[in-house]
Amino acid sequence: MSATRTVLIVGGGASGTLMALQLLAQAPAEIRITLVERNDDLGRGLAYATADEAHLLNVMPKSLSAFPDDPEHFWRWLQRTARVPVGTGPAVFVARHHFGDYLAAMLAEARSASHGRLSVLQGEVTTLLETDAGIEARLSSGASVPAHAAILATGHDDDCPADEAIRGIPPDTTQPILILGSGLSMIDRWLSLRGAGFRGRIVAMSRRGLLPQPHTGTAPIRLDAADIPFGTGLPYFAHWLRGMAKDAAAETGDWRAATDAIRPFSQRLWQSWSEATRRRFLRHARPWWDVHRHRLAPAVHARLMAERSAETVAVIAAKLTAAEPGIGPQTIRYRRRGSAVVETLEVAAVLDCRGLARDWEARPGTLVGTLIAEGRGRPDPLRIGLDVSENCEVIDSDGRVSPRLCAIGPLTRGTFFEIEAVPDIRAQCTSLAAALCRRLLQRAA
Amino acid sequence: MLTNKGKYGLKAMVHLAALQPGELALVNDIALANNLPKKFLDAILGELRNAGLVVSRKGKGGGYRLARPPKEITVGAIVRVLDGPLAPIPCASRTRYRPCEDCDVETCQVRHMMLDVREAIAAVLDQRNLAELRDLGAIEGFSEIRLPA
Repeated sequence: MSATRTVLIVGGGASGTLMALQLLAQAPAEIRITLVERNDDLGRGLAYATADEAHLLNVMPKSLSAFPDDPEHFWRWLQRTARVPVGTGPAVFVARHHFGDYLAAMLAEARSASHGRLSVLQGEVTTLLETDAGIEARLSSGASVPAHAAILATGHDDDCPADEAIRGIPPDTTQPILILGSGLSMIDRWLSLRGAGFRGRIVAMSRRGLLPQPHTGTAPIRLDAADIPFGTGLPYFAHWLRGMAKDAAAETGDWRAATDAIRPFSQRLWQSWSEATRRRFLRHARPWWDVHRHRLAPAVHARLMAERSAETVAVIAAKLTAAEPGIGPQTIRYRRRGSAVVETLEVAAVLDCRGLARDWEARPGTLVGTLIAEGRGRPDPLRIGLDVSENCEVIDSDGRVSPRLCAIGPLTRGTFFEIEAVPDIRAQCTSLAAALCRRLLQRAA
Repeated sequence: MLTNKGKYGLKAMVHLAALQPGELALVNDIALANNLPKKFLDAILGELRNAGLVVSRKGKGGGYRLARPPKEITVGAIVRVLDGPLAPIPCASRTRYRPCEDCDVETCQVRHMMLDVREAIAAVLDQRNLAELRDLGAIEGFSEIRLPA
């Protein structure tokens, strides 16, 4: 019998869980997996930790299987566990916690079937040291876990779930609440506030004031790689995409047929662009891209529109000149888009839902912040995540690609851009699991 | 099909890929050196500029250069910009589809085969970059001697 090899996964949210499932499915018996999660619930992470029934999945169950070769797996699980009423069709948007429950159940099942190959520890990894033999993880408890390779799956890290973020806001307050940002996180906060009984006005503010679009269920048109203009500048791509959306709308009545058709190519598009084009995309195109690509369940969108007409929700395109995220009354100052006049507003709280903007160095308490401070990782050139190779290997401050330390999920968005949704992370885990198994077995031989 | 436009564009890009960093080339010189019609080349370079693949500078000392290092520009990107979606015959395209007058789209075996062929074309052209294209046909062991302009 050959020597065992251990892969350590740091983080037991959706990414870490999908990674563990893929390794168990692909790896031979001599590869063991240790998963370390700081909380006591697995499979949930930031997106699926919410228990709020109003927080719906933004896609239908058939896109969310944990197993790429069995796309209906989650949908069958929902039916088997009676989480959807009998006779419900698959075109349904269920509450997000079901998906967290599903991942946790899959992990528990996989662990009991793994004959000890998967162990799950509760603890917080404070740093990872590369040794001659592999990697050593230090935990805050003082313990250390040795491994041959490690995968960072710490995701959105210290962001907190929507229901926790609103704690401390008195539900009967009459002043409005300001939410910075008008994307999907804003939607979560708004729903949580309503769920907690807050009846007052909610003001969402962002640079452009764009709201997520609703889903319709139109099937995408078919596109192949041969149709996609990779590697051009941003204006050319934007022109092409608008043309595609127009053609698709003429053909199917819905622009979504085009935006969904390029979905399978979005990582390749991102990687085909120069750094300057990527930077321009983040600055100028991302708000538009986000509202058309990351859409809302129709029922949630309808509810939002109703509140908007009743003026209980306002969305303002504006630049803030003075506001401090936090709970408690304050006067905020802002300038509407295209106006020079500074206006003020008395609010009961300011909630930050701006997403993406990251300053890793300024977060020394997190594992990723520590790795960067110690030079064993670095931010990607656009500073939206941790710099990794196209094979998910972490790149250190000297530009050296680590042979043992990898990262997956939202942490890797500098390299992959669209790597927050389950189908993308699932594909990433599948190919990383295959590559890791090859490499570890080679080293063992 | 690779049109003359695509072919001329590729030759012009190879010419630009052989320049020293920071060096620019005039349309006239590119046309003369590669035996290309100048007026047509003007239009081609204009399209490549709109696509962000080359940049130009006007006036004295002006001309064209690549927008990115040749290693980062794939041959597939150039051909798509000049000839549109890759397609061996006009009906075998999903976005710029033109049906043949004499056959049925859904059942035409030739079209189905050609849809596969175009994916194979894309796979080859997207794996080759402009630096590789430039170095094709060079005599092994010899590097080309660059003559002063």
